[in-house]
Amino acid sequence: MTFSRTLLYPFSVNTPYFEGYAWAMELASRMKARLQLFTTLPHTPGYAFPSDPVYHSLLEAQGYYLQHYQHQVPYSKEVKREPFITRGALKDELLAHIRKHSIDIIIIDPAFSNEHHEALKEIVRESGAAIILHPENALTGNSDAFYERLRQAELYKLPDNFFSTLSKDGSVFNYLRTFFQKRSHPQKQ
Amino acid sequence: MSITSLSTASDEELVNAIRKDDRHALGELYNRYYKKVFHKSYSFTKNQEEAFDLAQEALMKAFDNLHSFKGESSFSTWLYTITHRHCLAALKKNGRHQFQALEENVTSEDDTYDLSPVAEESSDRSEQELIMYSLINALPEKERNLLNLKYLQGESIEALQTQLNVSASAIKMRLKRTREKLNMLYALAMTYGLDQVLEQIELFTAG
Repeated sequence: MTFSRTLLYPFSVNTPYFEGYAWAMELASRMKARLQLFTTLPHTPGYAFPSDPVYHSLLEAQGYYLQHYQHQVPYSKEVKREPFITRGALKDELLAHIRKHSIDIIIIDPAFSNEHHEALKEIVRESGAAIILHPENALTGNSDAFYERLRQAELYKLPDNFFSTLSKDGSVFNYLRTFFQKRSHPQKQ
Repeated sequence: MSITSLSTASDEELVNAIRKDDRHALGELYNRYYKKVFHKSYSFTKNQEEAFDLAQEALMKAFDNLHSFKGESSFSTWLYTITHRHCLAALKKNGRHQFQALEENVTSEDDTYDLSPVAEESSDRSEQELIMYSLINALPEKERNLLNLKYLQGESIEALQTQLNVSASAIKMRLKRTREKLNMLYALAMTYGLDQVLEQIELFTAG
């Protein structure tokens, strides 16, 4: 399978990121895109921080995604995930990564935007497009939740074909149907 | 299954719960093994990024095929067998196949080898495993029995000590030598062909 689009999800293992990871996975799966997972390790002269904990954490995040989002067998959705683990300050390295690689959409989760609030403007400016997720308390993991989070997110420079790409995903129809049912029967909410 | 009982449930109980669509059981079982699968993959690749790819693929493969787990071996053995095969296949595909020492088959949890010729995925049995089984069968009876008792039947060193009436260190030494011999035969078979090695073993034992 070839992946024509590339999504980028920056994260830090020091802040909660599983929910954002799961959403980014869902988006990549629906867009049939590859998902780059970007993080950094501290750069300390004379000591190389081991990267095992990052790989462990990413595998754990995948378990979270399976448990909460992926409700059907096969679990192995065709999403190509590519970890990029570099050394240095996350903001600087991320900007360098964005400039070097052709990224279609960057997905920023709430923990990341809190931590790097000052850098967000620059990251969004350098990215092809950006989706900044808002905090979500209730986790349902169904299709409605995916689109609900998209609705709440801040969207920047999304390509014209973004929604038409998503519209090829069958669950959109189910979401819209539920949405309109709620609108036509507001007393049931 | 309640959240509190998840941590005390056996792997097999969790598998049954997953079959009934228990998502918490899936999370629990996955979390028990993802690190071990990563480290097993790393033992093949010696490269963390490749190990990560292989580990997630092997985990997905296993969870996608939970329906084929019949409980004929422990879940961990089944999972490690899938990981082992997946890693071998990937290395072979990349032209990086190296001889895997028999020690690679040791599971970190129960220290047993999966020698069962009737593993869960019999149709998917790799060429390498067939070679290994043939070589085990070609070993002298004493050595073959020792391997079978320890790794197929899971006898403890203490039990073997009583059964064979020798010291624990002697048992360990015999096991070590037999494994090394098997590894060497395996390497020869992969290089020169199984038939040729079996022929040589036959000639040697007949002489």
